[in-house]
Amino acid sequence: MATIDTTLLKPELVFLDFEAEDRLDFFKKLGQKLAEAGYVKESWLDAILEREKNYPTGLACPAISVALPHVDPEHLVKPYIAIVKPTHPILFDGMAGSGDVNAQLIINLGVMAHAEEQVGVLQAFLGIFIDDAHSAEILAQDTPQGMVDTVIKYCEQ
Amino acid sequence: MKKIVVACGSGVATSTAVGSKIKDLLDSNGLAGTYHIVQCAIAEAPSQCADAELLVATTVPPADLKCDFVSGLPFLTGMGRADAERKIVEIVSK
Repeated sequence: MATIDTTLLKPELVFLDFEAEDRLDFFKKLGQKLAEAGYVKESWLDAILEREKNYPTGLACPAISVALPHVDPEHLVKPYIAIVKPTHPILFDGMAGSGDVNAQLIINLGVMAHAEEQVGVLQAFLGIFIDDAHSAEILAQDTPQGMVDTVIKYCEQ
Repeated sequence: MKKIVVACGSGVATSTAVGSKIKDLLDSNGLAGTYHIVQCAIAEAPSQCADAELLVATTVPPADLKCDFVSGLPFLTGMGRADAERKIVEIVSK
């Protein structure tokens, strides 16, 4: 596996107890935060809604239901990975026609093309999501720094 | 040299994760050097698959696909992975 670039994981990009009515509301609010922090362009919101409609990213993993929304790099200003834990699960369509997914955790991958160091973080997340105890530990994090530290711990294993 | 196409919506994120797992799988089955992997967005998959043996994608397969297809989801979630691995090894080693 390529070296994992954990510098993309930052407390300012962890949003806990995120209030959103539905998926549209979720992306509007997240997009606003990401734009304010200088990570995405104005085109991001339309792009991610369109992308999610055509190629949904909900994933029912053995231990947790998640979504991995992302867009083409042209809509990004710089790479990032945002971790969002909504107050209520957000309904996503499942990847590859796999049905409804009530996402308990959303990992928004702002990665650039063929950047394996960045996608390494995705692989570390997938490793967490197949394990009950590790997923529970992630969901139990109640501070942004705690979330970042926990994910980095699993990236380094 | 067998061509394997690994695709996702954008050809950036989940296809990278799936591609590296397929490489590990095939190499550990002694198939290193008999295949090459091309990673792309699913929109490019039909043309990329024209001369390929296999498409592995994290999306629904394109309608007019001319090669074998295996879903990439088992490599993300772990569910049904043994079965997907068996199919891929079978296709690449035949």
